[in-house]
Amino acid sequence: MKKLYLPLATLSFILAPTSATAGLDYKILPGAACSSVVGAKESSVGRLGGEIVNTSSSEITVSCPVVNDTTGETAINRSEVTLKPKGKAMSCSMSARRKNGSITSTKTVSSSYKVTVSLNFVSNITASQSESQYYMDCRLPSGTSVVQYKTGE
Amino acid sequence: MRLLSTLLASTVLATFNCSALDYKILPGSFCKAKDGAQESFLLREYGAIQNTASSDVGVICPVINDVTNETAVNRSQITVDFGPYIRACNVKAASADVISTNNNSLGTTNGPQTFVLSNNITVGEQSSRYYVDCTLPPNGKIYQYKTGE
Repeated sequence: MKKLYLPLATLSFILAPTSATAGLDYKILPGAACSSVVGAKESSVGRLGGEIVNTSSSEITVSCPVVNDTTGETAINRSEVTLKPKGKAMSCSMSARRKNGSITSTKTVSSSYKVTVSLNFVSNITASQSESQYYMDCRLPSGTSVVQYKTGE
Repeated sequence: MRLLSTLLASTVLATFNCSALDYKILPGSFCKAKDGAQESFLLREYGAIQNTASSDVGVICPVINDVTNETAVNRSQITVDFGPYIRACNVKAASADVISTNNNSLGTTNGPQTFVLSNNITVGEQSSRYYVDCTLPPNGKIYQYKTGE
């Protein structure tokens, strides 16, 4: 029985780092990484302090890229966005899309708070393919901004 | 003992998997017009980027260098729909003013199609920057691009 202790101890030492890497791989990107969906409206956005702000008097939609860094994974397991709605109705949609563009899964959050707010999307946004792409679209009324967004695979 | 051997084999296998390339997949909507004035011709719908102009628009798609002791993009691919056109799409490595030279022509396609780009793009520097340089034909679309270090 004693002979088993050493191999078991060695094994647990080897496995310890493995379990530590089992946590989600998070990425936080600044709102400034987003761009106007309609390129002609890029002149309506400002990028201040890492945020993206709608500086025009009308609503615009921005698209925010998500880094898919765990290509054996088929979902965004956790995600949140931090917004400055300033009392206006803002909404953001996190989407997964297959490589051939065929299937899109979209989940939406919204807020009209006057203060800065962080909103969580539902867990496990997926198009059931490891080579999916992920992105977030946000509707920005005048003067509102996307501060940052966070995704975990 | 047989259980131990199985567990050890699984652990060794997992370690080998970790040594595979570190891949990133980015949506086409991350790309920008080379000439800022041509941003007005671009549309970013459903995570893709599309040229809405009647002439070509050059775009640059940023690549995230996440393995800074590596000196190359070892593998890369891009999913595009260029319709009837054949246009250039290249992964570039750059350090200071040195830029790699490679030339891939893609197309024609009828719907999204994935093309493998050149392997081992490098200028031999760990602190290199990488990007995909594409010419988008009229209505041409980039869905996503994938790089591995």
